[in-house]
Amino acid sequence: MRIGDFTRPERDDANVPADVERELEALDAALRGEEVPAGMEDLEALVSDLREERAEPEPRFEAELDAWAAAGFPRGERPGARAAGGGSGDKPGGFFKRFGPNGPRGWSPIAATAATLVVIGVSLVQIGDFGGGDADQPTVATQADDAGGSAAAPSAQETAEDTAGDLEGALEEAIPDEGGSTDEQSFERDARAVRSFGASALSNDQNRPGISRGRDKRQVERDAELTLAAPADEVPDVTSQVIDVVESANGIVLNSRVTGTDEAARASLELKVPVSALDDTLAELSDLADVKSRSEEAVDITTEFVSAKDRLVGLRAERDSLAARIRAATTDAEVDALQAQLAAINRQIVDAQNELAEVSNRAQLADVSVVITSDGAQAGDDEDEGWSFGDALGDAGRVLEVGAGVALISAAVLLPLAIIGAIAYITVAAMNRRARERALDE
Amino acid sequence: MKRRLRRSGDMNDVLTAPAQAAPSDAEAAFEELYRSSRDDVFAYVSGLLRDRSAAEDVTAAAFERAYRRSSSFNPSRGSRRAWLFGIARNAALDELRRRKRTVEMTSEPVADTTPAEEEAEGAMRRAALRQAMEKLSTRERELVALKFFAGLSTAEIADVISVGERAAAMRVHRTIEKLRRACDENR
Repeated sequence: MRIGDFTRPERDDANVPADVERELEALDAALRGEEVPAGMEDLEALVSDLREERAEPEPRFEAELDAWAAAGFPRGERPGARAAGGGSGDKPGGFFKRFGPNGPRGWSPIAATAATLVVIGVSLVQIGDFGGGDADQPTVATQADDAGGSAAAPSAQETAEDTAGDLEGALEEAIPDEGGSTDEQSFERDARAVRSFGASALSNDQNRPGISRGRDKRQVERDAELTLAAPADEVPDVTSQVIDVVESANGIVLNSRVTGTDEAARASLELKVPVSALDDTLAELSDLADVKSRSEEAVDITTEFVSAKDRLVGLRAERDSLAARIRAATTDAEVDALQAQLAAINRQIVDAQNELAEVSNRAQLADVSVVITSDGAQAGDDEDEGWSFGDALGDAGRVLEVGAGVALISAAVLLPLAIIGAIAYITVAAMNRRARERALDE
Repeated sequence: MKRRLRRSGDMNDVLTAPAQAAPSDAEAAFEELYRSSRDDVFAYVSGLLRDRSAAEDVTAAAFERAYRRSSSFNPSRGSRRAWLFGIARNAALDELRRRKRTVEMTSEPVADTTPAEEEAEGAMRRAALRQAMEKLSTRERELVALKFFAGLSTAEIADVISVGERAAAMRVHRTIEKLRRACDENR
């Protein structure tokens, strides 16, 4: 169905009355030069007279028109009595005629150009979208466990750097004195250490606008899991490279294990990596082979750290108090009892120091678990071969997918425009039709 | 009776001349349409416009449009001849709109050329017919032109003026009746 069909009125093809039909048949017979039914001779005479009134083209016009037709109706050479002066036939007959001698068909190049531009635009956008995302990119999961609950956890590296200076001072103070000093200066040193820790943290806060004071003191434990895919014969080499990377970052390889055959192999490594170098180390490890998965987790252990430190400070204060009482004791029995208490306190101090060191260690060294597997890894030979039949199928599917996307989006853009254009065409065509019909009534 | 296809010998010569390239079916069909309809289109347009000069221009424009739009012809919507007359009608109505006035026929085909041997009764009858034609509206005159000057069938007329065949038949019938009554009154 064409758009023009919508502008055509409905037909009424009901039967013609018999008398009218007979009359028309008689007219047609008379026009053919045949005899008309009896009683309709006047119609024959009317037809004859009307045919005599028929205008015939002049021989001059006939010749000009024939020559023009034989030449394929070239533009600008139209014959006719008024053609030289801009014949009537050249005048636009309607809205669409203004766009060319072919009328509405003159819109075809415009519409085709517009549609092409839309398709090209959509294609560029699509290609841009596809280019922005890498289908082969592994899923990277990052999880932060914030003890505070509401605030987003800072990156472990940031936290480690922020607190590194504070920890150094605090840990120096937390290490038990060689020989277990019991003088009063020990308590004062602990107190200074605490003040120094607070002052250092405060100083850091003041020098870093935009970072909250509480956030600077946070202790964050980080760990990461990385799964790499490599051909079975390359798993041992990749394992060695992992160890090299970790050692170059001053990390520790807690254990490593490689198992498998030439067809399938698997290696697992448990690593300790300084938090300050964690992100760079993970990036380097990810470059060693295809990354199948990668996840990171951050847990806020500030509460544990502060609790361990407070316990150590309290024990030291108690130790100093016992030392003072021993110096003030007047009897041997009293001295013996106090020294027994002091020995017990010293043991607790050692435990507290170990606990604080452990928590600090967790904040400074991230646990990293690396698995290297041959599952899902492309063999090195395949890469060398370049383009396989499977690759061709994949590329073909990709091309079809992109093509379908372009077609769908283009249709979504062009369809409304086409509907609007069709409505405009139908409306204008109907208006032209009415205007022409009105010319018969004037 | 004078009938259509009264054309010069030059026309056949011209249209058959480019034999160096075999015309396609569409070109051959259009050539045949041109041969069979040229004079009828002119007669119809001339009868509608009553202006020979304008009729020449409109006839040429109609064939040019038809030639350039020959691919738009759809046989399921009527004969090729009706399609051509539809184009000619649009061109003629565009001319009428442009003029916005009725132009008197500048020349009459056979007026005042009555041969000496013509009977007096016939002369009177045709004079009455011309007067009766003057009383017809433009729509009615168009129907007369389509039916008697161009020789279209009722079905073709229906296609050209975009009405049903019954409506076209009734309109032709009413126009003939009006013409006959006017002729009787003028005698």
